[in-house]
Amino acid sequence: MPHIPSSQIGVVVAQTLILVIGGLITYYSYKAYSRTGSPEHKWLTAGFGIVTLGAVLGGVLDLGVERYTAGDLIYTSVFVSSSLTAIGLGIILYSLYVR
Amino acid sequence: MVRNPFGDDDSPELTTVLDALDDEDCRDIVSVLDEPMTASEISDESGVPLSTTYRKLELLTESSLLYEGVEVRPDGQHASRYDIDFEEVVILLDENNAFDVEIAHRARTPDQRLENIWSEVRKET
Repeated sequence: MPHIPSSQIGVVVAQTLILVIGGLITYYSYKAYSRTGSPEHKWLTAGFGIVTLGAVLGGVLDLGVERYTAGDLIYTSVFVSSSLTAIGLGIILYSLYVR
Repeated sequence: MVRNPFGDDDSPELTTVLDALDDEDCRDIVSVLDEPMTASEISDESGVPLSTTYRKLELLTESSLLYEGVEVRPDGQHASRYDIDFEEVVILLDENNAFDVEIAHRARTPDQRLENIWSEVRKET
């Protein structure tokens, strides 16, 4: 078991919370979609899913993959998570206009 | 129960709309709605008894002449507010010489749509 710096523990806790909370919102949106079948809920589910996925993926890249590779992936992980957040929020906005 | 909140595209049945329009209580209800109101406020304003008001509101939302929005309150006592959702009702003749009804809806703003989308998601929790 490799040593984890205390600063990384905070990141892991936050990522876990994002996974659980974002996952629940996505799940409820999906259930609303399967009941109403409306495109708004489909895009809402996709948006929340991508935001959640992006944050968690960023953390996995930074803390997980980095341990087994030589390079520093901090910028890559910030880039991945923030771009997916931007895309996800864009899709959530789109869900308000879709017909 | 929010009836078909995203049903802008599917038109209601002709007979449902005609029933609503032919009903004096329904017309009284529409005439008092100058802002979103709850069923009991509508009943007070229009003088239609509350139990009748509920039935007429159902007919009006089914006809998509009214729009039902859920007001989320902190105490958990959620109340539906009703508002007018049409600009004009057009009765027309289709290619088979059958009567058809088209209802031109008021534009929904993104914040109203967010309220609708979210109230549907809330039902899953």
